[in-house]
Amino acid sequence: MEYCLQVSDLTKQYNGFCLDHVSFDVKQGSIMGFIGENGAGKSTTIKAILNLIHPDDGKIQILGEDNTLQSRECKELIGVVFDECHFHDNLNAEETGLFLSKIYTNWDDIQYKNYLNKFNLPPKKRIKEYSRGMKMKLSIAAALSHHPKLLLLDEATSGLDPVIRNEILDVFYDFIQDEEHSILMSSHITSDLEHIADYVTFIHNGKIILSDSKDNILENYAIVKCTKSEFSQIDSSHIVGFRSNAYSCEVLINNRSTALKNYSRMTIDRATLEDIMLYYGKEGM
Amino acid sequence: MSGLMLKDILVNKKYLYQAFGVIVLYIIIFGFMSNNFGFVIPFVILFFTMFILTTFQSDEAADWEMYCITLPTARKEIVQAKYMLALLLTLLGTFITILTSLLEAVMKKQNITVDILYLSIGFLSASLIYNSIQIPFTIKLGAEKARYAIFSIIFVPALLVLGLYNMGLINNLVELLETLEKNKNLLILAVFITGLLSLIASMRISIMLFQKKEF
Repeated sequence: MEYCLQVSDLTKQYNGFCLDHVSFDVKQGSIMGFIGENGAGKSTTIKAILNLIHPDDGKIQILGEDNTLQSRECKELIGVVFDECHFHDNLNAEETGLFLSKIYTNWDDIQYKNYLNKFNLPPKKRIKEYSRGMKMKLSIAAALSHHPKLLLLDEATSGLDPVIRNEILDVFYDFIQDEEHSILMSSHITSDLEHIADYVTFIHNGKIILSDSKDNILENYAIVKCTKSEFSQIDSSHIVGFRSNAYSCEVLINNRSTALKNYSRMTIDRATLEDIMLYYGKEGM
Repeated sequence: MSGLMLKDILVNKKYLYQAFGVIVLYIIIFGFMSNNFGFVIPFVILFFTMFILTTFQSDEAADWEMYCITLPTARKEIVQAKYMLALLLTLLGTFITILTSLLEAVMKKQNITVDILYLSIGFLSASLIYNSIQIPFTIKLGAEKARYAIFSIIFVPALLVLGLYNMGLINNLVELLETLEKNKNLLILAVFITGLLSLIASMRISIMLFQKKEF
């Protein structure tokens, strides 16, 4: 199977917001970073993938199956982590593992306990008494303990400190070492995705702006720093967005190699994923 | 389904422990000491009837439903688990009341009558009918709003009877009940079957509501 997840023309209309023909694919064995500002449509897209909402149009295939007809066997192979822990506060980790073992056929209790040890999660302490980071680690332990092939992470690292985020990203990186495993990770923390993602899809106002390999994006996008008079020399077809002050402009372009040749007198810096998100978000043109 | 039912029991075990404690106390004080099992029976069954609402409240507090749908369980199974648990716990409550009544009769060397059985099955059926109304409302409106909605419709049967009385039909109803009273076994069976059928119909409605729900 080349793609573990295929989203085609996904459309969902709400009052004041529309997910507009969203299409992207996640290659098997890769990590796709799904990036966008708050309210861009990341969570809505993931909810549609998980059948939590009913799209108005479009088609989604997960692990070769239509997501609306997902068999139990297919759902066994998907692990999900949301931005909040959805386990009841008055349970503890041991009790959580107990009922999950009755739900998942592939539940691996030894692996679950290993993750609890690794994450220093006391098995008999109530979830109510866990910190935010501990709750997130518990969600991740649960998502990984039934041998999933696809992990869907919806802002799983938001609100966590850098130490815990790094720890969690290492776990995901270990997960992906098996070429049959894939991750779709939505986030607005671009540094996490620069660290770990193979591919990046940008969503803005419900539309996909770009979807490409991370390396291509970082290779092709650049920030050109120029004066206001030099700005007019830049090919407008390459301009994604810009910001200006009284004396100068900063322009995001999508053709770094051409810029290096044509605008050698201007300062050209590589753009980060955060820059790209900022400039698309500002819609400076 | 068993995993979901186990989850509800584990999450609300404190409620169950408290319920059992109060039930034991009531059985001792009002049952064995005051010989008033007619009061104990509805009380015990009520405790188990309200358990399902407690599970919905706990689920709402954790925003559990959204996560539950991502597990390898069909939406239909999630609803069925609630109904199965409601039925099993209500049956357990009924069994406890019948058993303790029998025990009391044996201990006090009294004649064992079927009245306790009729009373228990009657209240069991009422519990099934109540859950048949409560669960779909809770799925549609959430635990808090459902409580107000149920409160507003709970008086409908009483208003219906009042309406029948004003239309002069109530005399016929009284005659019907008198006839049924002479055939108590038939009455109890009819009431129990009504309870079961209403639960099945309610489950179908709840599954339909839950299939359409978005998160």
